[in-house]
Amino acid sequence: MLQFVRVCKRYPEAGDVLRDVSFSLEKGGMTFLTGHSGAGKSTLLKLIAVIERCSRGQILFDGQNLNRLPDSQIPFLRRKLGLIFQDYRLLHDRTVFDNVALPLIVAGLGYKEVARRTRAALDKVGLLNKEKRNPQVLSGGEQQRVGIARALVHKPSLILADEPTGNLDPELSLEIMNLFAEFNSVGVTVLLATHDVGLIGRLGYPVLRLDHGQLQEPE
Amino acid sequence: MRKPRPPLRSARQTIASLLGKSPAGSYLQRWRQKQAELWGGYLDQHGHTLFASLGRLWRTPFATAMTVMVIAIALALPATFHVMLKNVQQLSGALETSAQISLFLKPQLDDDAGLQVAERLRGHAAVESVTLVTKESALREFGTYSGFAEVLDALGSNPLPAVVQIRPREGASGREAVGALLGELRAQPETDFVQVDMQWVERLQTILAIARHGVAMIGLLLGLAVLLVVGNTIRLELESRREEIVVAELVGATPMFIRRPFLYSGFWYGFLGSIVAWLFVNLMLLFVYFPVRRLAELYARQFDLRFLGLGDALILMGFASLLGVAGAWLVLVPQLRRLRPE
Repeated sequence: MLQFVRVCKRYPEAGDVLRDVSFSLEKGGMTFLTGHSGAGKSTLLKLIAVIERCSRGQILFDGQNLNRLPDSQIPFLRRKLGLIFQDYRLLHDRTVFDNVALPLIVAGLGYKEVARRTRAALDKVGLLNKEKRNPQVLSGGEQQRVGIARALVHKPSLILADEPTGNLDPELSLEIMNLFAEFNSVGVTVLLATHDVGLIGRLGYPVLRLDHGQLQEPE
Repeated sequence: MRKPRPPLRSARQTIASLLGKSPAGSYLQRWRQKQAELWGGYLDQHGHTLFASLGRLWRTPFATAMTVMVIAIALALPATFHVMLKNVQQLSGALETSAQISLFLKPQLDDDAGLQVAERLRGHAAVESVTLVTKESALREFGTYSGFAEVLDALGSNPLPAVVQIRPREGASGREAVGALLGELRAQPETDFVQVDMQWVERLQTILAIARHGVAMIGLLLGLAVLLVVGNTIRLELESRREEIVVAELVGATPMFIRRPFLYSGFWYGFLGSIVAWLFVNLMLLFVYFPVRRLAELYARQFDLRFLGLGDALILMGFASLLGVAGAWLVLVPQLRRLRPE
């Protein structure tokens, strides 16, 4: 469903961040993306969400060539993705419910449908009882679960998580990872960038290792 | 040699088969269903955004009130001038219908000559009515209005001429018709001079035309001010809602979705500003209402001060709302380009 063919990304000020990256993800898989900080993990995820465009190479997603995707189509591509961030990126001027509902409202769903799906997503991450709270009063782990609910609520075909456990202690990290594993087991495709090597080893999923912008062969 | 044409029938058949056998029919159905779903959401979205943006303004009452007041003042100024002009126009219109020509006879002529002239003019096609002010009554009138009755008495003889007051016929009160009549009157041997009350009405009309242009200019400038005030307010709002915009973009919001709440904010600023402006204008008019009526009474004139009516108010509201939306739009397009997720 996702294929990188010799993808390069060069920033005028930082030089090559990604060099000749080629890989593909199968539908329903869960893959880790790892590497030292600055190895290009975040950049790789940004290329998939077309937050950045690649300098060379091809990125194919769902049969679409993202290089040729016009700007006007970017919103519709992003509706097929679920994005999760290290700093959660929740909006503090509204409730948990409204945060999670955002992708559905953006997609123009009717209010009833929005409410039903939002509650279902909150239920999946175990926060249904906190829907009226402000995200600021929640713990870090809870905030990230709100972020995950927001990424799942519109049933995306691919979830991209950028260091989702970066701000959490090991116990909460494991909890969040288990959540991802659970979703993956019901068929959600996940690409998860992390530098938490210990965590990856224990879980036994396929790993893409980036080193200075180049993909290393798996050992 | 002519090439054989492909038969038309086959094309029609192809279309028919496409419509009938392919999934086009069911596709249409699905499309309709999808549209119904989308439209439901679309209306939900618009209604929600409309009132959400009003709610957002309500939550910062002080800042909102300040912006709305500035807009209201900018709108109230040209609106007030406009109403004042309308009032003066109404007044001058009333004067125009009462345009009157005073024909002063040569002072040595007596009232009999005046009577003859009056009689002759009564038959004229362009004349509605004729009144003769005899030397005697002119003297009496002058005595009562000026208070110099004794002085005139002391003169012994009556220096005042007989005056024939002529009211032109309604249809003939146009400039040319009145001009022709004037020429005729001036040519009469009995005429000393002819005075037209129309002249100053005409001058007033010209002054009013200039004033109308002035009001249009002021309106244009202050309309621009409204545009800029709304634009600047929206720019600040954009700045304070950066995070929200970026997150919405990341979850697949279209540029229109992102612009919409700000366009509605612009609409509300313009709309609320126009309502307050309407109140301002009518309060100001109410303030001068009684003095103006007193003045009208002094001139023994029937004059009703006109307020900014519902029709004008609706135009003002529509115009101001449009300006608000335009001001927001002006800022949104370049500013949102900067607010892309990184």
